[in-house]
Amino acid sequence: MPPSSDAPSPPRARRGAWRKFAIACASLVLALIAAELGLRAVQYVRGRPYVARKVENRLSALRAALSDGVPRERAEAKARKPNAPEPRVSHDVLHPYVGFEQSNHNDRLEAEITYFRNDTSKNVFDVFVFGGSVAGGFESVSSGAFHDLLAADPRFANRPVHVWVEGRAAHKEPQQVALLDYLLCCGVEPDAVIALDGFNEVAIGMQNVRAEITHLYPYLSAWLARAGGMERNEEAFELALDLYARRGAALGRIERLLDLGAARFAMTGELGLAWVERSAHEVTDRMLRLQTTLTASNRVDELAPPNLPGDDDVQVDRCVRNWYEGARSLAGVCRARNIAFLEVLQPTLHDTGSKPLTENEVSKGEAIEPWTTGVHLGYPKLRAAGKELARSGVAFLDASFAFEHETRSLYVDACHFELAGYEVLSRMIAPALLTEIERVEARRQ
Amino acid sequence: MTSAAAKRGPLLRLAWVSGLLLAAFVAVELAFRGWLAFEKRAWDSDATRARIERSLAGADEHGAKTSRASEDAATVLHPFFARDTRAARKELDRALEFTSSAEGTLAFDVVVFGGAAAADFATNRVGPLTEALRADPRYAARPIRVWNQARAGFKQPQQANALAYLLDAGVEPDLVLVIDGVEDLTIALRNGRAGTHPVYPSTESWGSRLGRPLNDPARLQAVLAARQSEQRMRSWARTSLSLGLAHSACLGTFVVDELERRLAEVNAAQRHVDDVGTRELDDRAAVGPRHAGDDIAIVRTATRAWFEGALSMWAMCRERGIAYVHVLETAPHDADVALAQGERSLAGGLRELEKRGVPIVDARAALEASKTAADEPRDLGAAIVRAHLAALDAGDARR
Repeated sequence: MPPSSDAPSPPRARRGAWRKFAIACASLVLALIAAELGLRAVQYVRGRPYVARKVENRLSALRAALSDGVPRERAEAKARKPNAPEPRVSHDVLHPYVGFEQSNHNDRLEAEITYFRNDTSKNVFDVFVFGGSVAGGFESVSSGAFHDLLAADPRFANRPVHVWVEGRAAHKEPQQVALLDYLLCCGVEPDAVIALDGFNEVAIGMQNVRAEITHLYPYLSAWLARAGGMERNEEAFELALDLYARRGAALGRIERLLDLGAARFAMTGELGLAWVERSAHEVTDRMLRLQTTLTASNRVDELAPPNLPGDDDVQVDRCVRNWYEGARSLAGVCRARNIAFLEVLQPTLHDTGSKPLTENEVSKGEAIEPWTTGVHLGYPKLRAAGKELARSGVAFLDASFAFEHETRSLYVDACHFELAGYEVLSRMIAPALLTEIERVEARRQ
Repeated sequence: MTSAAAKRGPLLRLAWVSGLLLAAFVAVELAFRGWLAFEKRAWDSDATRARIERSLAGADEHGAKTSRASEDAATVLHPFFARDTRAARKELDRALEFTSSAEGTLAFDVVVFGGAAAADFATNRVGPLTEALRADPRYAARPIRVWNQARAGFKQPQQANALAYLLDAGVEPDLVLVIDGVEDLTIALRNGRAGTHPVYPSTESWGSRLGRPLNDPARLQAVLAARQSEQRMRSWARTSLSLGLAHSACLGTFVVDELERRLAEVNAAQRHVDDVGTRELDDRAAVGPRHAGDDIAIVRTATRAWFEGALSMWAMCRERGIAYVHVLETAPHDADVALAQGERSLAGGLRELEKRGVPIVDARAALEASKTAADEPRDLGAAIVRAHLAALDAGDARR
């Protein structure tokens, strides 16, 4: 039978299908553009215009909080990509002098020891930053804003400045003192030391107290999980395994979003962020469950002494004393070697009145009860103890109100902040450190 | 022959044989003692008994690692100085309670840090120190309390971290006394030669504790063997002590030789426990950073760690107006060339500490006048008090 003249010829039929497909694609693209524009418009009208850089920073901060608590520059993550296909999941190991340490600390320390054995280090002004993860985040300005502020001082015109960041996630006193002692014993020779801390001392200190162990011991979960022979406790082992898997998955998602540049578009950026925030929340939830399981174990008493009795006020006083005595020890150790020392009280979201919080910060800043209790009761006491430090001759900078006039969103959670926050902090710390350096030089002469 | 006489016959023979044997033994004993005296090694039964008792004490130290020794001697991991004992923990609790009491504010509190010698001084030989302190009018009316925060096997920075921890906890000492040096060198050398960083704690107190004893049948087997050899050694030492065998030169020599053999067995078994304990570890967590293996480099690192630790401890005390005395202990005579070189380095470090204003005591010089071992605590106590009072007077003069 001859083909009907009404039926389209095969090439025309194919062209029709292609046209339909092209229209569908174009419609989809247009719809996506419309959705993207619509979303941006809605956010703009709500007073929260979409800024890709902010989403990227938030993703980086989340990655840091999930891995080792140290926010990194995006450029560094990209530069590492070919050699680091796996997300950098935290791999803390037991350490004889600081409780727990990052697994790569030995490599870092070997590099530091070699550097200080070399004569060229004598010409460099070496600044060491100690503290918890917020101090660890100083990495983001150590070779940028903070470094430049110091290097611009005339006394460093012919002397390079190197900033070494020794902040470790969840570290608190006496870990800072112990780490400095250990580094000095190994041959490290700082010219200046900054302790940027205070939050972990009261927040984690109170978290330990709530679990009925001493506030002086390291972050409970990190210590018990490693020291407690977790593999003997099946329930804890299963929870730890689950936590490990979820943390790996969450970090993988963040890495993918960052690699794909998802933050460039409001839709993918916001959706992606919501996705990983949910994952991060699950990780936190598992961590708390693991902590509860570990503290219920009979071996806790052996691995961590119980806390002393007392109400919250008394417990917080003890946490503050821990911070105060730690600062005095650091100051003494530095003074005996003519090392400039500056104690900085870090800012934190739950410290009432320390920052006008944005809606976004409030929604992201949720924290467990011991942390908020620790901060609410502890920060006024920390400020008073800081004044006492200053009276006794320790250089002290109260940076707890560093963000007092910042209306931008800086916090990514209850304690960590974005690069802009570190830049604000750098502008406070650099002149205070320079003053202390001058004082030490005058004393030396 | 009557039946009674027949019965006495064997008994008489037995008495004769026993008497002859005893006479022979006495003859041999006398001859042996004579020979020992001729060799200028006259038999000293008190020293032998003390030697056996020391071996038993050493077994207790081992026991803490492999056996369920006494509750207080059992050691547990510590986050800031690798390991701790329940006894030291209890002592810290007592010190804290005392510090906040009315009696505590009146008392002069001396806290002792360091290794085995410091722990021995603080617990057994501290009397002369308190007497020498009381002789000074400033302390005559004050109760003096000595707290032991020294642990056998400690080396820097364990002492420095223990002090920082104690201060953070709220203890307020009046005098911090540190007696160390020997373990800082011997442990660092043992560590360095075995591939562990010299600044890390000893393998016994750190590396071997990172294993998984309950999951590892090989380790269980090794621990069991170590316990059995400890048990054999203990029972040999206890039996010989209870029978008073040390009174006889012949039997005492045999006992000591056998004890040495059993001790060597215990040490070998213990080393095996340590080897099994560390074999499956993330080595870097157990051994620390890489370090050049030669003895000169190890001694240099050990001396530096000791010096920096001492300087930090003094600095922490000075910051709070706490008096401080650092005693460099005397090392046992040893053929180890590196150890001898290390002692010279530590002596140099001690002089440098003195230059920086740290009150120091060189135990070797302080004990030169000691005629017997019994004089040592008195002479050391007096030297410590002299150094403390001199620093106090210098401080008063400056003010």
